[in-house]
Order: sequence, then C-alpha cells, then structure tokens
Amino acid sequence: MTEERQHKLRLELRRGVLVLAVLGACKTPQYGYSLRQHINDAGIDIDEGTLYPLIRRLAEQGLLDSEWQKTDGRDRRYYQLSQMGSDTLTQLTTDWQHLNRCLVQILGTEE
Amino acid sequence: MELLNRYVQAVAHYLPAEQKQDIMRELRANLLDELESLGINASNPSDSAALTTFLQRQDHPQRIAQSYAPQYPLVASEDMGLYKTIVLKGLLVLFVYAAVTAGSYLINAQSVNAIAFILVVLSSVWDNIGVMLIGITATFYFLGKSGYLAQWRYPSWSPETLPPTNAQRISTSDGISDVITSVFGLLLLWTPLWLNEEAYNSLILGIAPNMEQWRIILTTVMTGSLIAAIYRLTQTYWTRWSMGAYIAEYLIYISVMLTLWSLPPLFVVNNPIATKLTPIIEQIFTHGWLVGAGIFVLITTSEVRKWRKL
Repeated sequence: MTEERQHKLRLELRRGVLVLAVLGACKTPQYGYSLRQHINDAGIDIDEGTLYPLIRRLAEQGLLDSEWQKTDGRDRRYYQLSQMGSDTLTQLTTDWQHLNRCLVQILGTEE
Repeated sequence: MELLNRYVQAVAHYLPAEQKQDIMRELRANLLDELESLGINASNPSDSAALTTFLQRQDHPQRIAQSYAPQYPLVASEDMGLYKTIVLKGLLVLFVYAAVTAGSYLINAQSVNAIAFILVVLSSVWDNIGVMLIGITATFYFLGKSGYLAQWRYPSWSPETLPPTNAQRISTSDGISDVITSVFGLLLLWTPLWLNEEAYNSLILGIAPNMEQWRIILTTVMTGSLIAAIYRLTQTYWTRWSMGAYIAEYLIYISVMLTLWSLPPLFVVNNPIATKLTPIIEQIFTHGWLVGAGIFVLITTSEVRKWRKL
C-alpha cells in the first residue's frame, strides 16, 4: 500500500471522530483557533481548513450556538454546545464507547 | 494587511451573496488568530514574506470558499448515468429534427448541397441545444430535489420480488429510445397541430390524401407503443408476458410495413418546388418499408430466442 493511500485511510478514520471531538470541546465556549488548539493538545491533529468549515456546519445544523465577542481588541466568533448539540453529544459518546469496546475485542482477538 | 485582505477578498469572490459577509468576517478572524500564534504581524511589512508563505500554505481561495459554502450539483452523482443517456438521446432527436427541417428549407431555397445541408443542421442543433439542456437539467433538479427520482430508482422491495436468477434486465436506455421514437413519430404524424402554417407549408412530404386513414392507424399503433414503452421504464426485468407483448409490438410493425409496401405510397411530395424528388421519394419508401420490415424480422427473431429462455 502506498504512503498516500495509507495517509488517506488514517484521515478517514480521524474524520469519523472529529464531530464528536468538536462537540466535546465546545462544552465550554471556544473560538476557531482556541478550539483547534484544544483538540490538538488532546492529541488529535486537525488542520484549520477542515475544522473551521466543520464548526460552521455544526452551527448551521443547530448543534452549536455562536455569537461574536470582542476579546483582546479583536472580534471573534465563539461557539458553544446548544441543547440539541448536548443531546447529540450524549448519544455520540454512548455510540463511541460501544464502538470502542467492540474494537478492543476485535483488535485484541487479532493479536 | 493588504495581502491578507486580497486573500479574503479572493475567497469571497466564490461565496454565495447571502453568506459572503459573515464568512469573510469569520475567515479573517481565524486567519488573524493563526498568524498571531505564529508570531506573524499581517500589518508589518517586514513580515510580508512570512505572511506570503502562510497564505500560500492555505488552500486555493476557491477551495476554501467551497469548504465554507459547499455548492451542491444540479444533478446528483447517482443520477448522472441516466442524465447522460437522456441528453444523448435528446441530441439524437435534435439532429433528426434538424435534418428534416434542413432538407425542407434547402429544397425551398433550391440550394441543396451537402455543405449547406450540414451547416443548416449544425446551426439548427446549436440554436436548440441550450433549451434542451436547460429543460433536461431543470427536470432532473426538481425531480431529484423532490425525492421522486430516488423513489423511482429505489422502489420498495422484498426478497420475493427480486428477479429470478435467469432474468434478463430491461435496458433503461432502450426504453428511453422507444419513448422518444414513439413521441417523435406522433409529432411527425400530427405536424399540422404543432407546426406553424408557414413551416408546415414548406414541408416537402405529406400523407397522400387517399391514405389519410393511415394517420389514425399509425397514431393508434404508436400510442400503444408509447404506453408500452413507458410501462417498461417502470420495470427492471423481462417476464414472459412483457417480452411476448414486446414481440407482438414488433409483429404489428412488420404487418404495417408490409401492408404499406403493398399499397400506394403513403407519403407524397406536396411541395411544388420539390416535385422532381417524387420518383426518388417513391423509391425510398417502396424499398424502405420492405427493408424496415426485414430489419424488424431480424430483431423479432432475436427477441423470440430471448423469450424462449425465460
């Protein structure tokens, strides 16, 4: 398998958890860059070209509330979980934990 | 800052009007935060090289715009196969229509030569192709958006209704061809109803006055074919009875063609300018009915072989 193909598979795997990561990180108010830092610090590498459009999409879907605030002399758009986003996060977290347990079993068996 | 503004403006160029200001504002804020984290001051000329490198690393402005405001295609990807088929069939109809009207036009102008014919045909196709494409695309867009296309493509099913292992699929492309051919034939038979008077009077051919009853007979046959073709578009595979009906259709066409071959000419030259074409037209149709019947016999034989395998 080529390195490029492998890289694409890894990206696909990461893409699946990004929504969960973003919703989880937005339990507290975050703006674009702070959210990216938060997720990067947790160990998930995400580039700005992927994250920023994603958080706008989640806001359009009603999962995040947003408002513009002036901080440090600059306008920033802050995002936070909405009620719908909170319910979705709870559901996705349960799904993720279930998947995690299944994968541990599968991968454990393979070893 | 000018370079940053140019980049944001370039992205804005590709954004829908209603979202432009909001996305530009957010994009600028995000880029300024990224620059700050890298220690790059967009307003400082000494940082312009670093700013250039940073912006170069961002994606092309059009891609950025697409990621912020995705544009959805007029025709869904899963419908593209059918869309292409219908566009190609439509082009074929345009060419045939253009050939027919070009022939009439050139004979009336007494200027029949191959190059003039080709140019008039191409010009006619060019004039009408835009309307055709807009019509087909708009139909697909609205049918796709309403969910009707998806319902037609994925109807409700159960394992019992799945085709048997020896099933022969009905080609959608052939079904569409049959519908278009029948509609075209009906339009040709009833040109007085839809063609304007001037164009109608310039046509070279018309049905012979003593054969007018054949307009009704052929209309009945073609209407039956059209209904059958539309029905076949709703089916996915042949059954014995549906293929039997299809074969019966061909047998009716063969009978009609052989009957017309034995009768006086159905089509005559009714344009005084083109009377010198009368012997040629008569020859074409005399042999044409027979050749057509022969071709249909071959097709019918092939369909009967398939029918026996069902």
